Amino acid sequence: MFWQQVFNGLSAGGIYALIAVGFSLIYSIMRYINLAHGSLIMIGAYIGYAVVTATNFPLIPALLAAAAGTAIVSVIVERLAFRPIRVRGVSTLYILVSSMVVSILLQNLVMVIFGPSFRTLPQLVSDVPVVTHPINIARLDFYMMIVVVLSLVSLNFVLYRTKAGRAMRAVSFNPKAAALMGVNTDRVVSLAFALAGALAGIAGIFLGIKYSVYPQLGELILKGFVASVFGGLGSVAGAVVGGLALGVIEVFLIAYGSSSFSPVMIYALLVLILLLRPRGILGRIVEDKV
Amino acid sequence: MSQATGARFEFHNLTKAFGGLVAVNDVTVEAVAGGITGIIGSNGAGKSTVFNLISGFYKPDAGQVLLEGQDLTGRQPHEIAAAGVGRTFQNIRLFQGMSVLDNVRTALHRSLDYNVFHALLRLPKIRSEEKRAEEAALEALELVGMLEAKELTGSSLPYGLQRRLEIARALAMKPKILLLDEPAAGLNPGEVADLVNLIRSINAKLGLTILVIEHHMDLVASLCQKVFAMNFGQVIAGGTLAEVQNDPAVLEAYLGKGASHA
Repeated sequence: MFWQQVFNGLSAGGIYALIAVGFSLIYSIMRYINLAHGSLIMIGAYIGYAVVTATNFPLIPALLAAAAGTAIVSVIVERLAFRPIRVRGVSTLYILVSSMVVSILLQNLVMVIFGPSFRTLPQLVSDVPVVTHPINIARLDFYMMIVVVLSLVSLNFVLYRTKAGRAMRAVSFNPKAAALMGVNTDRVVSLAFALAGALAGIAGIFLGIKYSVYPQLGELILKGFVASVFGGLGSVAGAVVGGLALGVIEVFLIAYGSSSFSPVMIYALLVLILLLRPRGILGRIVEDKV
Repeated sequence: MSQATGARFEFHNLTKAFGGLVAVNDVTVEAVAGGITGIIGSNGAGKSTVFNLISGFYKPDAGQVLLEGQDLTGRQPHEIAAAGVGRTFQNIRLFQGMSVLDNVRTALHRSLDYNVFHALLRLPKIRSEEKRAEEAALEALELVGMLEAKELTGSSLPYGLQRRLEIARALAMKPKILLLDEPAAGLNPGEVADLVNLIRSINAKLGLTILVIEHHMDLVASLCQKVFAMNFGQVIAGGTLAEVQNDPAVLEAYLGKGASHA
């Protein structure tokens, strides 16, 4: 029973990690909080829903479509809503407000197109568990974990082994100096938003498959906030640790406490962390941005 | 690291106003091709603004920046850098949390011929390209004598080495001209002497056209073939250091009216 709960926690936590990593990536490079990140998750879920219902695509093409589609939406949002404010060099507070507006806008746009009702994706993954002993591993959870690990490993590879990643890290430390090194900072920012969007899209379609698709799905970004603060805001590694930790804690609170009490405890824990260790679990690596 | 020796670099009638304040007013400077040219002047004379206009952080209201006859005026900073203008900052701007080697490798961004898709597919090309970048970066570090420090983090370096790293980073782009913004600021006399030797050796080895803003008259005296003096956004004198130091306008600006008649 114990290990089963740990597994369930890691499975949920993997999705929180994807959300938190995308959110942290933008924060660490741009130093602003993108409140529209939640809506991107919701967009990913709807793209997945639309693609699957229209074409009957199996899981992998549907995942790729959701990731690519959400990445494009994310880049467009940055172009239209954040870049004009950024180049004017005014306070990032305006970007915060702009991202909130974008979030509401996207939510309402989806409501107009798809209506406010809850929708479910057709079953993309069979019900037959991968193993049942010693713990029960559902096929969906199993695939989800593989995809989460692959996404995070790829992101790490891009950030630390390629020139684009090096450019992103350079921009996060000093955009002006990066530009002087011949780095097109606008392009780096677009790439960061594309990556964050792709991760949000993947998280979105999995949430859609596991639960359901609805316009307020983006509110799950709150879990992403909590996860990134747990791990240390602005640290990508911290976001992964924070996401997994949040998933496990949540599952245990529900299993051994009560499901209605769990959110209360989670947010109480958040306040406690902010009071006692505001830099988060991996706070000491906050300096190593991106 | 051989490049076209002694690039011609000049800017004409550069002007920039911030609101009502004319920070740079009709400034024309022609750098010594393959040599070292100095820009001197008190704080607020507009020297750094000139560099920011050249490297594209500010757009000039008027004037022209020409590198080997190519007009760079008003382009984006990354385009100007790619065209061959390397620079360092008065207040050091390293990528603090990155290693010395990665700091320099970032400067090779443009010259690396692969994109994210190559990288994700792990094509062999990226390995060979990254290898080339590492070699070029090591070459630049060797030029400034920092090979041993390659694994250290930028922020852990002493100030003098941070300056050197900034110079190595600029050199790794194989620029045609190098702009040094107060390279001796914050250095102790020993470090200044080392820096003078470093700039001289880079200039000699690469035949690089160098433009330097400086307060340290010793550094200017031992390095610059030609000097321009600025005051209140304007060039008030140009020539050898001796000529400039004895120019009536300079004496008046530094010592007050009447000094030149004394």
